[in-house]
Amino acid sequence: MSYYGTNDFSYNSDFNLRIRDIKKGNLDFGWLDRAREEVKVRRADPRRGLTLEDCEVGVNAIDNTPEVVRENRGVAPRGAILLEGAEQPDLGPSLNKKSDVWAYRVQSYWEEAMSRQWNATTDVPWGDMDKYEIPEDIEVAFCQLCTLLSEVEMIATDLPAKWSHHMNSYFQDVKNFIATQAIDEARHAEVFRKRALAGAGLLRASVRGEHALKGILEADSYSEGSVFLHVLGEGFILTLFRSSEYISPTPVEQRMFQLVMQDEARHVSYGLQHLKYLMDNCPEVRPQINGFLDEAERHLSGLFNPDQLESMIVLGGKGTTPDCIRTGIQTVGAFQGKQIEEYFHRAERAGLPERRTRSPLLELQKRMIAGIMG
Amino acid sequence: MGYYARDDFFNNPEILARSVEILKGKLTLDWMTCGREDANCRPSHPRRGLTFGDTNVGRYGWDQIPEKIRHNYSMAPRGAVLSPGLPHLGYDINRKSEVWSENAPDLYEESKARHWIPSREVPWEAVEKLDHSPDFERAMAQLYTDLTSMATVLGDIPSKWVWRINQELVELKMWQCTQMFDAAQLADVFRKRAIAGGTGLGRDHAPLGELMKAVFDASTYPCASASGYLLLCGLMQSLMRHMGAVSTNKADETIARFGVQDVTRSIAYGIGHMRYLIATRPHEATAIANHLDEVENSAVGLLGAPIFISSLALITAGNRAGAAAAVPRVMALYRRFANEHAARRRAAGLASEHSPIEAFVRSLEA
Repeated sequence: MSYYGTNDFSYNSDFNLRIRDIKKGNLDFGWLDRAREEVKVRRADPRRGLTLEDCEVGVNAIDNTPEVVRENRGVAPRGAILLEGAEQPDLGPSLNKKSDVWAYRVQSYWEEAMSRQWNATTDVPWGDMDKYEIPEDIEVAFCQLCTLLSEVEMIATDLPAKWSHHMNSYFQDVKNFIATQAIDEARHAEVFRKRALAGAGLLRASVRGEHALKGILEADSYSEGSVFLHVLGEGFILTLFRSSEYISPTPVEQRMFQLVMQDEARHVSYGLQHLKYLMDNCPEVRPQINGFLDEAERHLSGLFNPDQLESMIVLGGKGTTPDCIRTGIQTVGAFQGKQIEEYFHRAERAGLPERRTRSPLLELQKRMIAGIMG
Repeated sequence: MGYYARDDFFNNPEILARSVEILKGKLTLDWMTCGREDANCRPSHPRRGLTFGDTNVGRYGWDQIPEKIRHNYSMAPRGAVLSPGLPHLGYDINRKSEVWSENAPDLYEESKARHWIPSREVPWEAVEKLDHSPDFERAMAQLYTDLTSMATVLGDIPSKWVWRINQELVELKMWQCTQMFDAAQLADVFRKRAIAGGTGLGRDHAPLGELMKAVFDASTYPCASASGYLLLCGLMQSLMRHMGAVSTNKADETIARFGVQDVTRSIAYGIGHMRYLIATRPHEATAIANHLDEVENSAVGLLGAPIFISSLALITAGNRAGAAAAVPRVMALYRRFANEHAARRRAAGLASEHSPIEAFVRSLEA
């Protein structure tokens, strides 16, 4: 036990007297008489139901919440009437500055996430797997890819979870959104795990990839963790999902990638909008974020590990013959270039155009090309 | 950046050379023969799809997880081939009995199957045409405000612990993600309902905050699980049932129906977890039962709080004038809650002769 309430009610005479009074029917309705003015909230579009944006009225609105929340140290929802003075028990939230967590459009991302939940158990046509004959080398390569994806997806549940309970309850919209991210990513890890276990099993874990995951988990702040996870990591994975749909052996795997892509795109968008909000409202953190990304991008190069690269080449070329491998290398080369280009484009949209000129990924690309040409 | 890997992969010439070789067409394909084991799992029941139960096989299954996990501190999926050099991800919950419940994989599957959407599946049009008094609505809004705070803490519990749990326990971690999600959904629907009724959110109050802090600040995961899932979820279940029963509004009935189904899953997990833990480590029962007694003391503070009890009396009577006469019916509600809570404690192996909730309800009845 780390917290003992301020009262032991077994031995509290005031409390016992009050209870005796209540039993006699003496109820205190002071709270009812000191109620607040009424507000009218209606669904803007009945088809979409009652959304968070519809509830953004008066004291409930985030726009009427100060940049730094000082008055709420407990778990009161935004818009509730707070206790006066220091009576409110302190649950110790440490993310109390709006720009530390907020993202443009986060409320609509929450509503979208709620509407687009799917079920890895029933929405993938697992029963169709026996309809298709997959050559063994392709099956094994696909399971190697699934091993990596199952491995990396759980970081996107652990990182948001690590920070969510530190967020002030006035930012419930963000806490809610990242809870949807936690379940989305759990489902991704689940679908890739199940696909591997429906076939050749799980293969080799990625040592270098895992060092990148540790870099994400151990980021010094939520914003740093978010930019590494959402913008850089999930951005790269989103491009990987698109390519993987293209090189999937059967419609069963294609369906999996179609389902995970829509979630991943939402997470990347949240990360972009958080970064943009941060850049707009705290421009002083730009050097810090750039310095962090310089290191994070070096970490991320760990994802290009030999097992991953080779399995993608086998899948891209649809086999292991020299001709197949040549085709696979072309496919994977194009996809890797696209990963980097799309990342730079996202960074530009979020207000960090300098990534395109200062990123270590450019150096890596140059070294690779020089190696291949040389 | 808090973490710098020992090996600077980025500037390692061997790694670059290997990648260049691959892109020149020299593949080793050694991962194809690295010690994998075919699984070939298929749905045991086609209509239900491929469940976790169907994949509980051989080295991939949860039956193989040892009580003390010593072999893997990385994010490698259970059953994958572990290469030398995998980093330690900092997990400090590495005992199966610390978190496991045999029903967790099934609860995860059930949670996904029973997903609902607060913005669209609650008949909000019913809240736009309330047929009860403003006082009744304010009392409902007050209780929904309390429930919003409870749901927030309910989501903060898995959030506080899940990232510290070893990846070998993956189905359990996934179940905790559904708990975060369910709690977020409940916080959303309770807050929306309070706001949509027109009277706005009610008051935050100290007895509620004391209980929330007592639940949230548990210093071990088993203590958090016992107080969060046996006590807090049990209280929420009783409250929602009552609110759904006394309100004639369709929206309240719907919220109660969905909300009760969600928190009941967490209660089932809490009981399963305690049973598994106590079966494996019986000596833990005393400390957890004592913890639960202490959190119950804070729950008594809430049950006796004037704002809480008068809100309940008002909605039970249907109006302010009849609230005093409804106090015995509130006491009957407390008695049901105390009985159900005691039954859950017994089922979990945490029965207590010193339960503050039982003592409090007896004093009410005396």
